[in-house]
Amino acid sequence: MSDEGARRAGRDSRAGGARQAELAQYPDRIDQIVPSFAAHDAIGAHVRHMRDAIRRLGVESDVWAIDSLPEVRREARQLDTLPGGAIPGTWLVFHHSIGTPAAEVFAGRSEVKILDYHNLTPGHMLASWAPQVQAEVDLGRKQLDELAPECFFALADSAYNEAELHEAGCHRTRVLPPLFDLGILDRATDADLARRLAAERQTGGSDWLFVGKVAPHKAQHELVKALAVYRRIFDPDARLHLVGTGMGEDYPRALERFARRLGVADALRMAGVVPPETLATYYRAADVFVSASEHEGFGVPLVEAMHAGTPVVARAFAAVPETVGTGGLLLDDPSPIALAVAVHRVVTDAVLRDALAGAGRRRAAFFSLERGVERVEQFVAEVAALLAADGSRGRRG
Amino acid sequence: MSPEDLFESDDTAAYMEQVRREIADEVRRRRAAGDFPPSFERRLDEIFARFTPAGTDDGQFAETLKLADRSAYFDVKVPIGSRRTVKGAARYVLWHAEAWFVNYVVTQLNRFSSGVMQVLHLLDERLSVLEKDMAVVLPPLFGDAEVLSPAADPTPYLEILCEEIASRGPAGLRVLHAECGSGALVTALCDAGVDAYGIDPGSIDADEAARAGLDVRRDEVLGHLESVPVEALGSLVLSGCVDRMPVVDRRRLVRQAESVVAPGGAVVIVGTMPSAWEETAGPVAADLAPGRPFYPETWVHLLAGVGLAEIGVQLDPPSGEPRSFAVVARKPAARSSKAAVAGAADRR
Repeated sequence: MSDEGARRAGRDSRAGGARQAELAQYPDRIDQIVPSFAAHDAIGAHVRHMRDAIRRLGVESDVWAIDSLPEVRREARQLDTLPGGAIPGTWLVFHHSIGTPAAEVFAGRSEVKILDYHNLTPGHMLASWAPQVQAEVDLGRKQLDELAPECFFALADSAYNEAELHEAGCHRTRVLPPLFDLGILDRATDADLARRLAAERQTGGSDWLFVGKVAPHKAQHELVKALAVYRRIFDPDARLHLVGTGMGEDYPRALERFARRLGVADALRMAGVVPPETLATYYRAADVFVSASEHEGFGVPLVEAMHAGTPVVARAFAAVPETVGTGGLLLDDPSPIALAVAVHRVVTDAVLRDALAGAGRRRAAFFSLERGVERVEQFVAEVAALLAADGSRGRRG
Repeated sequence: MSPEDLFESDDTAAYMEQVRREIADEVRRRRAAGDFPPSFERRLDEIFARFTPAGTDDGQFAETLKLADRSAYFDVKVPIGSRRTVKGAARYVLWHAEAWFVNYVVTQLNRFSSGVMQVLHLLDERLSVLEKDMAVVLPPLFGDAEVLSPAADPTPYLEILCEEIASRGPAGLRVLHAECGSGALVTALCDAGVDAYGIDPGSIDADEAARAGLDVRRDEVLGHLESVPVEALGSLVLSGCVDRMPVVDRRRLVRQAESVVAPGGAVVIVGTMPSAWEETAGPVAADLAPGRPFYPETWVHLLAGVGLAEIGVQLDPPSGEPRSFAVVARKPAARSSKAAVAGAADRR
């Protein structure tokens, strides 16, 4: 269906007394501002799905970005071409996750401002590894403190993020988990990788998987420790697959050296960034998805693993517990020993494994794209009602 | 409960909680058995710390130097970018007004940092030469090389140690023997009514020790003593490790021993005579060992140096060429580390 068709369908399907009144409160446009726009990162996917969900409501929606990757360049407009002065009947949603000049542009606008907060990694976690990134997140924190009180409304990926918004001075908030299409993981397979992983399994040993940026706050070094303990005590052939791009060079290199020192270098596989079909294959082949991450504002890979039926074992830090819920095994003890013992229990206990797979799938359904779209509709309705009660700012012209 | 039941029931949370408890119990059991002593986890942390950007091991010094090189240049360019015309213009004027001064200061900073980096590179070269000369061999974490040379046997001193510890030590506090080997002294102390436990980094069968009613754990002495609260031990017996530690670690060990033993408690060193050790260790172990045994007089000197008193030496055999010795020192009741700490805090 074309965008225009979707809009019309959205309007028609909601024709009815109360709904008509609600629609009348909707703005003409809800545009989104994002510093960098990409198709396959979590925020890029969220922005695209959100745009589509808004358009289905019959509301115009565009994406404005400073930089866009080639695959989405035709979908985004250059932020520096955003017309000066307020655009009537428009809400602006700004996606915030790092310090950026785009925040300054957003701050200077006078449309209805909505902040979508995707979390900022605490700077101290990055200090010694990536000082330049630390500077960016510190700037992002400062911008959050400035923007939050100025915004009419704010969205947060999780209650954990929402608490930070409240602390920064924004109190009209709603949790909107990231929108992503889990179906993409069901549709494709990397046959070569599947064969290679299967061949490795023939030689014995369990396969651990973690997906996420290879960065100190994701604590892959804790996974390496746990793997060393696990191979020493339970399974000398176990392997750890790390999927994700490295944050700079220092941390990934340190991980490799650390693994070498502990005698597990041959078991550490760093796959880097992979396309969706390869990612899906990793999820399906893994015995367990293990997260030692010490900071997550949400944790999309946790949901992907649960959706794939891969048992999840995770240390209970930041927003991890509310993302995993009862769909995985959460550990309060952060030690690598607890992680190793928990993985061993999952790998060797078929009842637990099946229970985790089932519970994980149920939990992942909570974050399905369909439910995400419903949440977008609820958020738009809520903001429209608040604006109406507040004096009609940003309504249709 | 079958998996199907779990899929459908609302008991999943309760089941997960039960599994979590069972996992926590197993972790506790393995820790108590000495499979994973606190020092083991600390050691993992220490090893990883060597690979952090500030680390200085395994070639990391060169990486750290590169990092310093990259950070040693100060950019004179003032950030003036802005999407707001008025602000941008103001910043541009400011930049012009201050550019000459910033340039002047930064040029000097660059000259200074370049000098410092040159010195660091020279130090790196000299250190590399030293390391090559010393040919330091690091033992692997989980390798057979951790199996240690035999410790001095405390058996000849059982009677006197039981007397010193059971009869004269402070009541109600635990006594530690590190490294306890087969646990002969721990057994003797327990038989004498002392609440004793042992640690040893070697291949102890913790289950067998537990079956014999002994509290014996796999751990190494310095790491273990770090986790013991101040003045928490009635007495402390040290053997084995005292013969082969580097000198700097032995000094640290003595300081830690003084700290963890309560006033009135004994610190005992059971050591090997240097001449006997070289005979038994063999030329390779003797040459490659990070340390060699001290004479009893040296231990007396170190123990006295941290304020321990009533120091006595027992030799075995008492006459002729002694092969081992026990040095017994006592922490004076008046010299309490807690009191010293409190005093220092008051002074601050």
